[in-house]
Amino acid sequence: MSVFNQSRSYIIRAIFLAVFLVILGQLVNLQIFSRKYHELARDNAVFAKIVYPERGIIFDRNGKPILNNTIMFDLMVTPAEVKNIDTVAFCKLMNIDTTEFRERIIEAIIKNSRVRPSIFISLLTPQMQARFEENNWRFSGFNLQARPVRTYPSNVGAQVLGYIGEVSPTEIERSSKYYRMGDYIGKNGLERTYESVLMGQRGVEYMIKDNKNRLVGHYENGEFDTTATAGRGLKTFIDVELQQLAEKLFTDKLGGVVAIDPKTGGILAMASGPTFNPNDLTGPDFRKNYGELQMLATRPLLNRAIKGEYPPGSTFKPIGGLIALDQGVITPSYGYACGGRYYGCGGGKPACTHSNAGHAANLRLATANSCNSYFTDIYRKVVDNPKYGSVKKGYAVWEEYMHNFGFGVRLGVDLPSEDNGNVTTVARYDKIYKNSWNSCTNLTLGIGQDQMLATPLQLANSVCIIANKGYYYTPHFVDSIENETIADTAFLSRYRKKHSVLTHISDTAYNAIIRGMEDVVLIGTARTAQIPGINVCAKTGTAQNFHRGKEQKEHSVFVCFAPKENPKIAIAIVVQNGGYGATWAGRMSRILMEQYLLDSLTDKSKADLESISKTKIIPAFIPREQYIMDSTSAAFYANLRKDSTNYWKYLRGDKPVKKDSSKVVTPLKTTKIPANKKVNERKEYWAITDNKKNIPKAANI
Amino acid sequence: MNQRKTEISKGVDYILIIVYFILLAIGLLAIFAVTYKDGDPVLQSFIGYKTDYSKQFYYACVAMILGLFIILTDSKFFPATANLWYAGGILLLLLVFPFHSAVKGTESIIRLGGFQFQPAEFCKISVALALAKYLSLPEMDFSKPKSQLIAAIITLVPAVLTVLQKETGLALVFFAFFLVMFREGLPPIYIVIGFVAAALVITTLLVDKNILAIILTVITAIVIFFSQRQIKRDKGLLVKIILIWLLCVGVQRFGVPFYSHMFLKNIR
Repeated sequence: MSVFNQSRSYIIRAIFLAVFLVILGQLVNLQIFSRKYHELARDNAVFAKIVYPERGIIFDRNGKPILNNTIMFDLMVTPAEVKNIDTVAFCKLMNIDTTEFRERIIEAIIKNSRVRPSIFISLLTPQMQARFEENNWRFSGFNLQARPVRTYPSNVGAQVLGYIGEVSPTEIERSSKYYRMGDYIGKNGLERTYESVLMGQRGVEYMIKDNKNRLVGHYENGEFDTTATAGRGLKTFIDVELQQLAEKLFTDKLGGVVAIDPKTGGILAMASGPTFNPNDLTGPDFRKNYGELQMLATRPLLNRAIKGEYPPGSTFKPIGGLIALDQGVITPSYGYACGGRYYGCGGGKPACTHSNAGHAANLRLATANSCNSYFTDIYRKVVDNPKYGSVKKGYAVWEEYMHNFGFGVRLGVDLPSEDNGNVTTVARYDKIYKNSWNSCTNLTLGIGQDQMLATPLQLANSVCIIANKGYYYTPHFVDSIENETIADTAFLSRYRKKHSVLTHISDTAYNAIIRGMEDVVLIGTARTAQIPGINVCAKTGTAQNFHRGKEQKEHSVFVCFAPKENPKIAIAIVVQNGGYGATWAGRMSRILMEQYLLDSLTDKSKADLESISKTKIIPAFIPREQYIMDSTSAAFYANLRKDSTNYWKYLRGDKPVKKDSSKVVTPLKTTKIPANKKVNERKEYWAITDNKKNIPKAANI
Repeated sequence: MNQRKTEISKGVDYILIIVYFILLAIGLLAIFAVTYKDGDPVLQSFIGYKTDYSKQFYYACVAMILGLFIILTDSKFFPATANLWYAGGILLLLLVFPFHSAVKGTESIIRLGGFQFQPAEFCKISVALALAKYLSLPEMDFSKPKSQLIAAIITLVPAVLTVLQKETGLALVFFAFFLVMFREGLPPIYIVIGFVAAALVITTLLVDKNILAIILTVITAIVIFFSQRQIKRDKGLLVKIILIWLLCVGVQRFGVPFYSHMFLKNIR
């Protein structure tokens, strides 16, 4: 071979050598320099055992825990160690059958192998735990593992304190993977707002695994371990006894109550009706109880104190008076000759409860008698003030006042998902009325109706502003955090800041209004709220409302603060569809004020407490809503499972026709209900005043 | 008989066989290490033919027996039948087009019952045989372009067919035969171009395209700088250099992204 060339042979060898060097280089890179697989390799031998800290405790104003921790037990099984046990006896003890026993064991083996302990039953009920402990020696391979669980010692504050639940994938994502699958996180209420404080700091113990994945000891003698730090406690303003009372009063009623200390903005009690026992949402029955609560048309999971939007009705009148006084369109001695109806816009609407001459001879009397004509008149005077040129500009000024009083905006309470109520903007009115509207169009804004909506929290806050003569602190629950850090202080600083947006309103104006509110209790509509020896200032409201275009019974609304000289408590109560303000909300306020100010109840209040808590005030539409919800879900599940037994109950009057028991009756073809229908049925159903069709006549007292 | 035995043992390349066994063991161990599940009985699952490593083990045994037969076969048999093997391999490759079954994105596999057969793999051997036979023809003069062309065709036909079967990775293997041809007298320029092209494609995939374009330009500038004298003599050289630069940047900018895009689409 003439072209055979020795040097070429060397070149080829060099090429092969180069290729192998590249491969070797990459191997060295992967195994020695790159950290890419380091984590994986270490996971093989080292197990990072998470040590969960105890969650922080929430205390009331007197240092009494209202949300605490307790220990519950998971029943663990190590399948390899389960030998020669009396399976039947065990199943009897644990209320399961043998098939389920076998299934659970198999599941444990599949999930976690034979030799490692897995959860067999999570969170045993105390009875089951006791039963198991008695018989522990008979069942090798089973043992109990302690797990901290939340507990609510006073059984109160369900909607306020919130609950914890397993972290969801979105929450893991949002926390940039800080949380891990199976962690617990505050889902609602204070548990959620103060999650970072309450959760504490997780600890990690590094353990060595053997070839069968069993933990055999500490890695490097625990040199890298970090200890868990318990969550820090919260000291709140809540007065547990007041809270208990408030929740008791709202038994079988819809609505909300908020009691605030006007001097600090601290919320003393907040209840939403109907309420439930917060302990139902801890421990083994969480899922079952949560499902049941979710399926109630009264929606107990909803915190109506911050999410219930109600027309304030006459309780708005003191605010309206303050705005008019500050704008200088009236003086405290201004009177209106009301003859029982307001004729300023023609049509004689709204009507007024009183028609005797002189019941609105001045601001004080008009407030005491809750004269609709008077406050409609002064509202119109404000927005039609010639100073501003047009009703839209005048309305904008009025709207600004409303926002300053905390209406139509989120106050920023330390609970998640607060609603902002409604103060309709100029632009919105322009849209609704196609640009042609005037002060007559929305004249009932003067008496807290039309499209005005406020949450009980906003009402309570507005009372605080009146009681404080112009300033307020953002309502909040947490007074201080245990071992407060800089971040905590930064967070709480928003609640420690005094908002003096309305101090420009003169003291004379405030005094006039406060005197009017005092008269409401002394000679006016709120005489039920009188407390001997204490000067209570209050305002009743009986708010018209509509549900799906149909007028419902009025909401019973009440705002008050006491004592007049040195206000210590401000309360706002809304009893949904309760009727007259004084009847329900007024009496409830008195009970709460007595409890807080006198630390005891008078005999009259004790009797009232009993009778009120035993009275059921459920809006007329609730049973129907419940029926719709139940039958919708029954139909949904009947479709899903092809089993209509449960569904028949909801077919009015129709009993299932028993033709042939082997045949499944299928009435479902015509009643296919999409899954999302259920959600539609559960729309916000409290009052939304549709003022286009329904201009309230006169229901304000 | 005795005489024959010694002949065989003389012809055996022991180092090669040891390397073969080592590779076999490494492969088996690697499969075992990643697929063995905690608690499986080792011996039973090795014999059971259910796990991957068990199958690998059985095929290794089959291959060893086959290897034994090949060693025992007269060495003249292979040159004599080389072209037949090659023709058979090409035929199988062509049969793939009507009879393939798509497995994991490739269309190069024929399935016969539970047995999967990939003709492209078989073709590696037949090409090696055919090329060896061609190169060792007594009248061969590999410096002739005609001979080089024929050798290239022998190699590239199965490569092209394999590419058409969406087995680009396997097709690349055939280019290794150019190293053999290089040893027999193929002008080095082909090898250089091949390696440069490979390097260009790989760097395109690894390096940001703007940075790579700058690097290529800098290299071109350096080359021009150092060949100023030659360029003075022959202006055509400058044009050539610039054309090469344009080609490289073109490949790096458009060629590879386009191809890898198509490639990814095929995989999906």
